[in-house]
Amino acid sequence: MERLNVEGGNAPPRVMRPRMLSLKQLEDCGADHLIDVREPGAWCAAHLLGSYCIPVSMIPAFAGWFVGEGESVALVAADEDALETAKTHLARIGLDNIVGAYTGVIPAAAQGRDLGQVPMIKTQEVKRRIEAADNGWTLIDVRAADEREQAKIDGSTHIYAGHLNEKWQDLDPLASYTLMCASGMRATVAASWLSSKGFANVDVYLGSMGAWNANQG
Amino acid sequence: MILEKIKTPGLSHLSYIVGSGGKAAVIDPRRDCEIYVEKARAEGLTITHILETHRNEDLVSGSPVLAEWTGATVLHGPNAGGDVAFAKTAREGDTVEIGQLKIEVLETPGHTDDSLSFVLHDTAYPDGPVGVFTGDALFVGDVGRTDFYPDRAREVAGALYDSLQKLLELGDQTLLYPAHGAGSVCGSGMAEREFSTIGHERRNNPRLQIKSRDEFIEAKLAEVH
Repeated sequence: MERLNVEGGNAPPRVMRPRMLSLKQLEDCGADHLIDVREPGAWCAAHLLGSYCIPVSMIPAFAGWFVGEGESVALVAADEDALETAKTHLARIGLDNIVGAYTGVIPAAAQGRDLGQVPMIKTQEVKRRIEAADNGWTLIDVRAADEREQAKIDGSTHIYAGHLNEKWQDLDPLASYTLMCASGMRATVAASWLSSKGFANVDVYLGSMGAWNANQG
Repeated sequence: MILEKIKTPGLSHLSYIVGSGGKAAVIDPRRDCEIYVEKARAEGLTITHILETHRNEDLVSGSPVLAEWTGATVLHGPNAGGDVAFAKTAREGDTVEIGQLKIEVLETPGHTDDSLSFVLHDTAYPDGPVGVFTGDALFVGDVGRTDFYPDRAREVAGALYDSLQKLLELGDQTLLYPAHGAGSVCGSGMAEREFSTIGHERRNNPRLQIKSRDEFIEAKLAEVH
């Protein structure tokens, strides 16, 4: 974007709705990124392998962290209307290389595809793990630094969600990570990104800081 | 005469179209520009000027596109960290006439080196400016971030303080038109309300309650984003 705002960007494509792909076409499209724009709960329950989750309303704030200029993107959505909104959001931040889109995650399971799942865990389980002090497990807080200044969970590690675009390389794919934020939304983006990079033992703290605070006292 | 805000959801980006006497200016257009052309045509206005408050890093500017469609002149501030190929450089005191409105350039660096504010005068009612487009210098309830030049953090925070004093000097009657509303990554302290005046901000904006330049710099350096 910085480059485009000096040199001048071109007009976005007039057709905002992406080309629909069959499951086979999606699997063969070779996109650099497979982004699932459904809600966090939907992605955690079942997702196409290799996909990561950026819910449609979070695209303007987060897609730019993970998708580089010119890189190709395939989208997965619950319905075609969400795809139009997703593509509009992507165009406004200069990401135009959308090779196509797919709807129908559950039907993919019915066609025999192996779908990924990521657990959402609750406060009791997070507390249990903190108390167990398991060396192989880390609670990663992906909120912004100013939010963390207000309140944080002792023992959590801070990596801002967007910074995982590079910092995932410093983590151990064989270790176990729980991702948290203020609610579980950004934590799902972060967990899904790690999952797409081959991290098998990630989960999401459902409710995150809000649930933690509600469970105190 | 019109002044309309066009809000881009998700980015909480605010752009504006202002028109009078058959001419219109667009401030900080987004990349899908049809909306500005359609609004101008519906009001019988020709877009003659596109004004950029600064070089954004969270969205792609529509200025080159809108300029190509309309032939309008794009104005951008000095020190943009590169020659903005599609724009002319505007300087303090430059003016643009849009019908009976006069728009005057105010250099307000701090958030970025190239930050401009555009002061709106109604020449038929000339006692004081009627409004100001502040970009990311002054928001409703917050001021711009100054963490983009880590090596010059103190200098740019001080520059923003000086720029804010210039904006306050426009007078309490001045309506405020910032480039972002609440929910933007460009400031976490913004009010939910997207309308204000310089006077209301003078009294209520927490960052404008800091009375000394040094204290303001310290407060900005202590911010974490």
